Amino acid sequence: MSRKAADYMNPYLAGALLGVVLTASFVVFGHGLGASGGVASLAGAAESALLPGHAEKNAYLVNLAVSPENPLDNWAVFEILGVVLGGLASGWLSGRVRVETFHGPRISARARWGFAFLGGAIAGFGVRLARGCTSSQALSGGAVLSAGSWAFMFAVFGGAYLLAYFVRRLWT
Amino acid sequence: MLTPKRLAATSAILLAAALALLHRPDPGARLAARRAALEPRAAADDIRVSPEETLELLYNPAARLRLLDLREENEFNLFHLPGARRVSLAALQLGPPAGLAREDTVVVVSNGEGRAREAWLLLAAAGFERIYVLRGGIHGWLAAFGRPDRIDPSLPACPLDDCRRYRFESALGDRHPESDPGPEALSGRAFERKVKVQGAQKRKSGSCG
Amino acid sequence: MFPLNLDGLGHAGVNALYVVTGFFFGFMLEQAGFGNSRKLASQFYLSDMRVLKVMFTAIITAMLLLFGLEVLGLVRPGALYINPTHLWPGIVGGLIFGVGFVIGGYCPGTSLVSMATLKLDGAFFVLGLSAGMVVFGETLGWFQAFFDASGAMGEVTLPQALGLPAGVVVLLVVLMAVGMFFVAERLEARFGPREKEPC
Repeated sequence: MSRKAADYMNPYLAGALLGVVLTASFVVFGHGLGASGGVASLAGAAESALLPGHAEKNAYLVNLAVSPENPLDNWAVFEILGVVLGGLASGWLSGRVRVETFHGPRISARARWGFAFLGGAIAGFGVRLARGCTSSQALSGGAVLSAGSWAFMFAVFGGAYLLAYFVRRLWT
Repeated sequence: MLTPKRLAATSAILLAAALALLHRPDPGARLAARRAALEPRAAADDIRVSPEETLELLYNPAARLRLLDLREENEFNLFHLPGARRVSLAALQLGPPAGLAREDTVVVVSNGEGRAREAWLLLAAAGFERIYVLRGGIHGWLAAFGRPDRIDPSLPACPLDDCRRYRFESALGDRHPESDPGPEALSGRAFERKVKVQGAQKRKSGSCG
Repeated sequence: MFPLNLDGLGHAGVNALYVVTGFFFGFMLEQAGFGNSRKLASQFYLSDMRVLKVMFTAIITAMLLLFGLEVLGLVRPGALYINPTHLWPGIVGGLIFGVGFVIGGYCPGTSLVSMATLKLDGAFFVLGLSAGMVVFGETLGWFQAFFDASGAMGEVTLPQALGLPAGVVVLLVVLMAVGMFFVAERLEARFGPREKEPC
């Protein structure tokens, strides 16, 4: 890496430490980590706020929330708050906090924004259909050997690898 | 050559092997813990269905009714409900019976409600949601649809009415007319419906799930 | 005995603990370089296999620790949440998510970390996520039955599904992961960057 940013941590070490955090979550809360649930709650709350009267009563959100009247009062929202703070802290300590856009050499930053949004939208749909994301299904469900989580994990890698060749202009 | 990576990989494999050898699996433990948590619900009214509703469900293919009978084999052979399947509590403690789908409506039956409630707990602990206890059990069914002299007062009763108090002349199983009185038997009877059956689409179009 | 009893902490206390957990989660993700979509996407071009390394190291670390605690009798039976298996929605959703991942360059957790370090593509991904999730909610009525019931097997673990003892499955998973790491290193050596890439 160039500039004054620190090198990224050894992936095996980072993985081991992440595994310790994951274990800690299980022994403290009885369940693993999660990210998509928090985003889903925020998205649902935003939708309700912007389209009043169009309440999104769906079982997923209701199950997460402590009180159905306040869909933001669920653990996933608090956890992603921590994720943002932790990411910022790590980035700051490593000198990696900077306004920029990561993009492959063959596309522009603005094009990258569009694809990031598109990819996010597709991912958002898939994540809800699968009832989880890499954190909640692959990592957490994977660690406790949930069969569905392992199937999900392989499907994610499968879908990504299958498409990678066709979108290589985005990255290489 | 012992690099840190090789050391870590070897340690992980050895640790996994050691744990595999030390592990004493207890397959019933998880189920038992769940069952304990569900215990207060087994006596609740919302999971008990009347004989009338059960008869109605029997004639509704959309309900996918499955009757599970917890009684002894000789009692089962004497009289049982149409299409009922006999299962034992011992088997249920290890896991749900094969062939049961989550969309099925399961009604558990015993003489009264004793074994049925226990079966309800075990199936609910295994994750089934559409489970109900036949209110009053076989005794309740016979009170609703049976001949008045079916119940023999000289036979001893026991807790939750789970000891057999009925008599039949011959062991006809579900070939007794009282086993299946037909939907006509429901005319003129009012009863509560506890079971929601997926029939017509109940979702308003355009709204979210 | 685990999991811990958090009753004494009160609602606010428990929520604070979640924030702390998320903090360490996000911290490690960023340390691993997962706030960087190019690094993440490199996984799928075989030049940088860190996604696989981090994920599977994390999974086997947690799996071994949790299984170890269980063998020691320190885990209350049935108390650890096992994601219920909805096989087909999981597979189809996983494929779709994988497509979104390689186009967008992030997954939900990593996009939050990226956004936290002021990366604009991360921010757009998070917005996209929200939009996609809203679309899901709006269209769910069309495939509700598939979502609810297809392959809905309740809690099924790999040992149950494979008919093998849990310890054997744990060992097999570790062996598989180590095997994958070996292959990953080889692939990186073959397809890795010829010159140092910019962050």
